[in-house]
Amino acid sequence: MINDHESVIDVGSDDERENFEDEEDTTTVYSSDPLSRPTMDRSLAAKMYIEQYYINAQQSVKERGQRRKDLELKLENMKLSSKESNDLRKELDKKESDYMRIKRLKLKRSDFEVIRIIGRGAFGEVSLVRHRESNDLYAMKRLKKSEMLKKEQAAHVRAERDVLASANTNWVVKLYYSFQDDNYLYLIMEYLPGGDMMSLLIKYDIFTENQARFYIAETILAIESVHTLGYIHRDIKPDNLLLDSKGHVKLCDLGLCTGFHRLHSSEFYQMLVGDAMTIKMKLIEATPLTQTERIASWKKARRALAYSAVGTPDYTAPEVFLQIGYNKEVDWWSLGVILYEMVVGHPPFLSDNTTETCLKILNCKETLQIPTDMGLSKEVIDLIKRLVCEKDRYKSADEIKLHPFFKGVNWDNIRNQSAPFVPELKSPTDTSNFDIYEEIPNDIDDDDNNNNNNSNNNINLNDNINSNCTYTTPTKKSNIMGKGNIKDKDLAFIGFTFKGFDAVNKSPTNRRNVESIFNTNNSTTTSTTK
Amino acid sequence: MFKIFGSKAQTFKPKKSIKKGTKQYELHQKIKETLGSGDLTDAIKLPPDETLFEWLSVNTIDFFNQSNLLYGSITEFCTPKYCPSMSAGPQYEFLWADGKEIKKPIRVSAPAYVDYLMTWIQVQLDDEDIFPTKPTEDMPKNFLPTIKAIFKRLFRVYAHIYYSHMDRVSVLGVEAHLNTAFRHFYLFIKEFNLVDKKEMLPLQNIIDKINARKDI
Repeated sequence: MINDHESVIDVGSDDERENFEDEEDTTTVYSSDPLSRPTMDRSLAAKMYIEQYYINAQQSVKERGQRRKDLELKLENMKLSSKESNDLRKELDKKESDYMRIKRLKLKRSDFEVIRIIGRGAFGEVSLVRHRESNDLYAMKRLKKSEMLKKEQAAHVRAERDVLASANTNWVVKLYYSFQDDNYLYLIMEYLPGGDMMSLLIKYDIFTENQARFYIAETILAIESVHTLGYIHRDIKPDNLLLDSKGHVKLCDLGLCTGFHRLHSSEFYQMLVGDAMTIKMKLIEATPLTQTERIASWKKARRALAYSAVGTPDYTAPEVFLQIGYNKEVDWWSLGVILYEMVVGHPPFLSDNTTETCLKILNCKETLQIPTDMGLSKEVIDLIKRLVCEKDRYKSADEIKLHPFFKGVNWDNIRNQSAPFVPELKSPTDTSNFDIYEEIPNDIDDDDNNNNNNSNNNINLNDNINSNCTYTTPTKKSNIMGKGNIKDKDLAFIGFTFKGFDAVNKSPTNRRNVESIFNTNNSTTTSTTK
Repeated sequence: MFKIFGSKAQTFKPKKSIKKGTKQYELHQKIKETLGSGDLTDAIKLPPDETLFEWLSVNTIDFFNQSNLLYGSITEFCTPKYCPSMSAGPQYEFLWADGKEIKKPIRVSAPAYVDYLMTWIQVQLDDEDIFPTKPTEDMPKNFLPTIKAIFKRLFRVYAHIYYSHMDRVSVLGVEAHLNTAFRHFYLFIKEFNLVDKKEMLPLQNIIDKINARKDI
């Protein structure tokens, strides 16, 4: 029980006059003092946090109500006994309570055991991790704050967190948690053991049209689900198409370790277009490599290229380069390039360098060459053209689905069909579908730094105010924001912390439960082999 | 003396360059609605079938964060020289005691008081015996008294800011945020009866205005 010895003291008129005089002095000082940088930073932090908080609060109320409404709708259709219905309602209530409790958890790096690094890029790395308490497996993407800020990527990783946090679909990799410490942002995501589409293409070189049809169809549904959320992906490419344990497609940005909306600055595009115009004349004169040599060189380097900060613009639509208003069509262009790559064996605008690639894309009417000696069907050729480089390119998923190339595709049930390539997995932690990465020695230093930072009781501008202090003496360092300068990098990452409803663990029961009701991917339908 | 709820906070006023229909404009409109006149009822009331314990716990953390950040905006001006005691105007002064390290109430400057307070709250929030994070535990016995003490003391931070630092709050453009956060804070207290009315007398004028609003 708390002993409350505090008291409110009324003061007399003398003190009253005294305080009034103090206020006058204060006003005088205020009017002549310029605002200091730390004060402005702290004010900005407060404003950003509070604005974000109320947006999230409204969203949270809506989502909770929607989950309840969804359950009631499904219960109506299921014709259960009233006891069964009530049990399911109680189960949802329990999950909501658990979710609320999870919101209070202060996650940290040491809550997760790193099993293996499965991806590395310019701003960080992705690891297979195990949550120590629950033993659940996740993919943990760790992004270095200092690198993000240097390359002005803060808004993009925030965009990724926003998309993944709001995506509730089987077609997008789930985000369970996001949190941060002094040096890193962390995204705790669904682990997909099948690797990515790039690995499949490296392994098999060329797909049959039937195989390509399956993966392109699933990718269409994945892109459509993102567009339905109101986003444009803008970075659709094979290494952002992940494969789950059964070989089905999920959209993410796991390999590149950049934001969901990796977006070159407009300066980069302007420079690229300028360079492209400059060398346009030269392109006619010189071809340093034969096409065969170029393809071989590209295949050898493609994985490394994917990890560079700039990456390769092979899958980028021309309007993105030209920085004119672009729309969801840019994602369908990328899809068309992937389809070309699947059935031909390399992307259509392959070049010796980025500038030439850009030039070819900008002049796609002359440079898009579909080989006539590979026996491609007229349907696949027509589809590629309608996705890439036609005057009237396809604009919507509905249009694309009607194309004769997709005749026979069961759009509503494709996720229950067998994929052309099913990953072979020896154990839950089998990462053989990923490249092998060595540990970097400075990772150890980073961990030590993190430990030092924690023990120093620095002010962390996390959503949950972090402190490891134990109350021992009144003179101990405080938790007040004002005592320490808020770092610039912390301003950029306000509002990053997130815990999704899917983070609530499944209940152990085998009988019908809330999880299976909300899972739109019911496996009641018999699978068919393609 | 006070500009209550009518002020224009810079960060949510749409810039001229933001065109209607863009996502950015919609975001600003959303923020404006939230800070300006949005209905906070659903964010305050206990959701159906939710436990009181979980609801109070998660909201306490949020209110702690908000008040901590708001006070952080004015720490440069809340100094022992200008705020030698934790006061709310000439009539109210608060002494600090935590019943443990400092059992007898002592008079300290406002920054020292807030320092003690925020540190103390953090200790409570981290205490698994009061705010357990593992499932299947009933509400601890100390939970409700601790929550009430937290809210009572956080109220004093708002009271101090309103009485002593509104000039600076306005200059920094934080006034609308302060007002919204306090409004939410007060309505939550009212909903769950967390603070005695006499403890809230220092801000009675503001409270009367909040209660007089149509949308509550």
